[in-house]
Amino acid sequence: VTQSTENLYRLDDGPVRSAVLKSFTDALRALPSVRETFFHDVMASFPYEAREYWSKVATAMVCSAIARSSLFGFANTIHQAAADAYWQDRLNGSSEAVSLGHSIYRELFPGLCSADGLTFERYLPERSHWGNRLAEAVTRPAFINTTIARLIAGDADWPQKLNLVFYKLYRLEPVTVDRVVGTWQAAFPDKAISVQWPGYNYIEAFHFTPQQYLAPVNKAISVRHRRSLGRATQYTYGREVDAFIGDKARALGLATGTTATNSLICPPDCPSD
Amino acid sequence: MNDARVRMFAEPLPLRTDERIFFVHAADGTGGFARGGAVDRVELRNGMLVVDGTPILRPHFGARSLSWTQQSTGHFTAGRLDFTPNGLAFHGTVAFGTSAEEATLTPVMGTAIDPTRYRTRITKRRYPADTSASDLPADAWADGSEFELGYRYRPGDPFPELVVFLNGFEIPDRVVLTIGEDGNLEIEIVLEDDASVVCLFDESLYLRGRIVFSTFGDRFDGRITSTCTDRSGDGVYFWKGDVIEDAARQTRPSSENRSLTADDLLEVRALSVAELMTLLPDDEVRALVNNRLVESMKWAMGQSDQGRNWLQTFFQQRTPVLAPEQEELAKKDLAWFQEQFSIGYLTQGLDLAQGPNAPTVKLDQGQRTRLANWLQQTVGPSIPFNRQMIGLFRDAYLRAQPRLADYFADGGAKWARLLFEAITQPDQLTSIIGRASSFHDMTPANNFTTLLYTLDPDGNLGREYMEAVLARALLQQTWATMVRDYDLTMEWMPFALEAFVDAYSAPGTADDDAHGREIANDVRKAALEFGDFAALANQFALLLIAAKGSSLPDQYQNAQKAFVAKYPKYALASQALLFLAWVAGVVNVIIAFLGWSTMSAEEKARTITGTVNMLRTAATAVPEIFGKMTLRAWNAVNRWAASAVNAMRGLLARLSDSWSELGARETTSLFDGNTQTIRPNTRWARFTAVASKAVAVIGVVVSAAFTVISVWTLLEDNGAGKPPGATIVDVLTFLANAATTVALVLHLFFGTLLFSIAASVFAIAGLVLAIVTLFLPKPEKKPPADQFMERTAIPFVNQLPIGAALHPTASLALPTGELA
Repeated sequence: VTQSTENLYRLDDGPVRSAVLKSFTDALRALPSVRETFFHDVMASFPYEAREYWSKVATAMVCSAIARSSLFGFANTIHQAAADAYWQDRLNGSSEAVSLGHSIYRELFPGLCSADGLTFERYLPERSHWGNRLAEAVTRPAFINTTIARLIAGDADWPQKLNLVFYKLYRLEPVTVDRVVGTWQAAFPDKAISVQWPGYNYIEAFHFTPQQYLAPVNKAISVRHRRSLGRATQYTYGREVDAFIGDKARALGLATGTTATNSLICPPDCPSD
Repeated sequence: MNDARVRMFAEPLPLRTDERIFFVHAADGTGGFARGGAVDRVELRNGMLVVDGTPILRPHFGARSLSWTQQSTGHFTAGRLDFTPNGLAFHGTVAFGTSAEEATLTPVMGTAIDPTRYRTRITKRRYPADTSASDLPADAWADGSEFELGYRYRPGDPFPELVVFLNGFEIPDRVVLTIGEDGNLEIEIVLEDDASVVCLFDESLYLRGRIVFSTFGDRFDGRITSTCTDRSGDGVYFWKGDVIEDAARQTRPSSENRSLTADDLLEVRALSVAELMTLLPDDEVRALVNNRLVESMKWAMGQSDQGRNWLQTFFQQRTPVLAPEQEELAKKDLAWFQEQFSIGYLTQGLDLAQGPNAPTVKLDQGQRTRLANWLQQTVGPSIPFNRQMIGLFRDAYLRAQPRLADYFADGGAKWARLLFEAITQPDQLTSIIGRASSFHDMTPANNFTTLLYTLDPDGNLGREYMEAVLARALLQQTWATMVRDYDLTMEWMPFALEAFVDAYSAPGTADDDAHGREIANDVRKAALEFGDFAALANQFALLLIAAKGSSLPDQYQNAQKAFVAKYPKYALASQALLFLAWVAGVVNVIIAFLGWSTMSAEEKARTITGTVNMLRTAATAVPEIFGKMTLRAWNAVNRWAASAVNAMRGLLARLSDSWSELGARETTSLFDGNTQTIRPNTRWARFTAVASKAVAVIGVVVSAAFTVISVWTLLEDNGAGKPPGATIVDVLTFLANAATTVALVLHLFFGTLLFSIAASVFAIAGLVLAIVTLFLPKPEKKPPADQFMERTAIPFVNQLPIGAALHPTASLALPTGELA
């Protein structure tokens, strides 16, 4: 497949959006607030701005997972609803979320926005040429008329598709954007067409579940600490998780104050020993 | 009471800052509009206007219109374009020529996005469905039907409306749109059920097929499984289309080819209809009238101690000095200004005022409603108010369009007549009706009427113009009706048959009508054999009603076949069926508009005879009416209809001198303001499957026409020196209700209905509009405002009658923050 205006138009950002979510959750693991306790194996550092803000979000997401753990009563140590609300609110309504989502999206777009085996980055070496060709194609009456017909046929995603075009133009030849938007506004004035992609939130809360980090949380909880008490032995599970709750979760007001039932004392003949 | 809201305003359009190309359809001289005519495109370029490559250096931008008059060496152009509320399209007139006297007027309509036309190719024969079309040799293909795809808007609709033409036939209801797996548009054509009609007009049409468009819509590929000439063979025809590029469609050089500077412009001295049409009133006139009314009110306030005090307190002004004529006018209603209008005005303004200086004392909800009702029901239609507004209008109009003075000086009545003749040409009326049908907008018609009245206040051309528009709207609906009701049909068809025979048997029948005479003779013979005209009519009526189809031509086609099959020896008589179907259409429209049951037997007979005689002239012009209905004949019939406005007016006038008022009352009663719907089961529903559409169009037209006619009546009464009576007030009140209801149901904004003369503006829109949006006072101190509210406003409101709401409270865009 060779480069073409049609291929450029068809390049789909679905893979980019999926990859943004994965990159985001991966990036959160690198934050010190959670990495030391739950993600020891993550070597990278958090590469984006607002580290403090995202540290708290990561903490809350981990707390949501703790609140759903079935191990050693850890679920009782966290205000489940408060933890969920904390990170969901910050993902849904914040400029930080929009900004971070766009940083990741921008980074991944060239390599992952693709169709028919070609990616967007193939067009970047001649960005002005391809930007102008795409702008010309999407302002032709034939395209507008068939797009409106698609809308009448029930194509509910047309604003997103149009904004994807605006974004591609922005990356290729930004000076064309106003002209294209103006043409579409004239063609379809009742719909208040505008450049909306800068406001898109690629990491909205609905993409994530409270169980997002349940596996690493349970793994951390399952870490047993052994302490000798004379002939008996005390076993404590998830001691670092305890510390995390007492420190990070409490700081966010997410800790209930209830302690986990994660400690047991074994007599000398205890099989756990 | 429902919580519906009438929209008072359409937002002004940003015409001055737009950059947009409009593709122009020009009148083709046959009542239709087409691309490739005398005007091709209009471009807005951020304050500059370019018409077919000619820069218009000093265009006048109105709120929703633009106009120009420009003379350079050897080149004159003038124009007036009225934009639809969404700014996507316009209707208007453009004039070109070497000078104003020689300029040719062309009615135009323009759209922002041109429909896309495809040049198509189709295989000459069917091929197995699994054939690879791309492998077929070039000589396997022939030219196919032209295909056109676009859309149009109606303000307020959630979605645009699809426009699809196949070989010139609009078929949006006969296509199914889908989106393919790859996201591309697919269109299925399903015309098979209408084959009997569409194939009658054009045998080259395709009846069923499916096409798939490319990503950018510049081409399509597909298959046709049924055509008019080959409805059910094996295999498929392959069909492909390529867009006819804009460049290939342009008929004018690029607009960059002509350059003009201010030095090239010459003064336009000669008077012309072309220029006159650019001098229509706009919002500027309305604003001027409103300002003058406030001036008069302030002057009246200044004539009393208390009023002077309020003037100083609330406006920080002294008594204004008026021009002598305005002062004389204000004196006539001095008491009304002082005791009614100024208090109501201040009360409304202060009650709505917000901000640090706003009074703390406010009306309660009941008082507020009482005041609103009083403003709408009592002040709006009141004689003093209308006298003031009418008196102020002409001067304001002249101030806004000073060039009009030259036309007055040259004989206003003469120019009114010339204008009337120009705007009642078939193409002009078609344009007006097209706008009313597509956008439910009568603004251009209202403006023309206002100009006619202003040029010749003693004439009757404003009324005649609106009646012409109304007659054209009714003719438009003729072919949209059907024969459905047996009893009703039998009330007119026997008489129509008899009238038909009489018309063609009369001595001196022209040779042109020879074929019609033969048919008439056969009809007479058939009637004798059946018993009488009623017996023959019975057969015709039963066959028409039983005939399948969705239109009169459709019904006619099937009914004629059935009649010939049953009575082959009267095949000639059966050729009268299309003529009769047409009579049915006209009679249906008249019945629906004026009511049938209320007509006397004599009126009914006059209707039928008059219709037959009117259509006889059409049959002479279009002899195919007695033969096979071809596309050429169909176009000819429509051309005749476009030019038959006077005949239709004459027919209606024979039924009643006041047919327009009668019809307006009948039509507006079909709108239900409470449910915001057109009432179901109206008379129109007995004749047409698209009753609500017909009622909507007629409703828009009659609301505007009736408003004009009512105001005209008021003027006539005043002009004759008679004191305006209660009847006039009743009429104004009625029209306020009627127009409001139509606006509610059709989700119009008032401006589309209004006649621009101030009386109706305010009678309909209500004073609230004027007060709230234009005259909000700016109180400087809180205590006087509170004092006014407590001592004057609230007692004033409390003594007002409670009154039932005329219509739901108007929704107003308050200028928040206007009060400091």
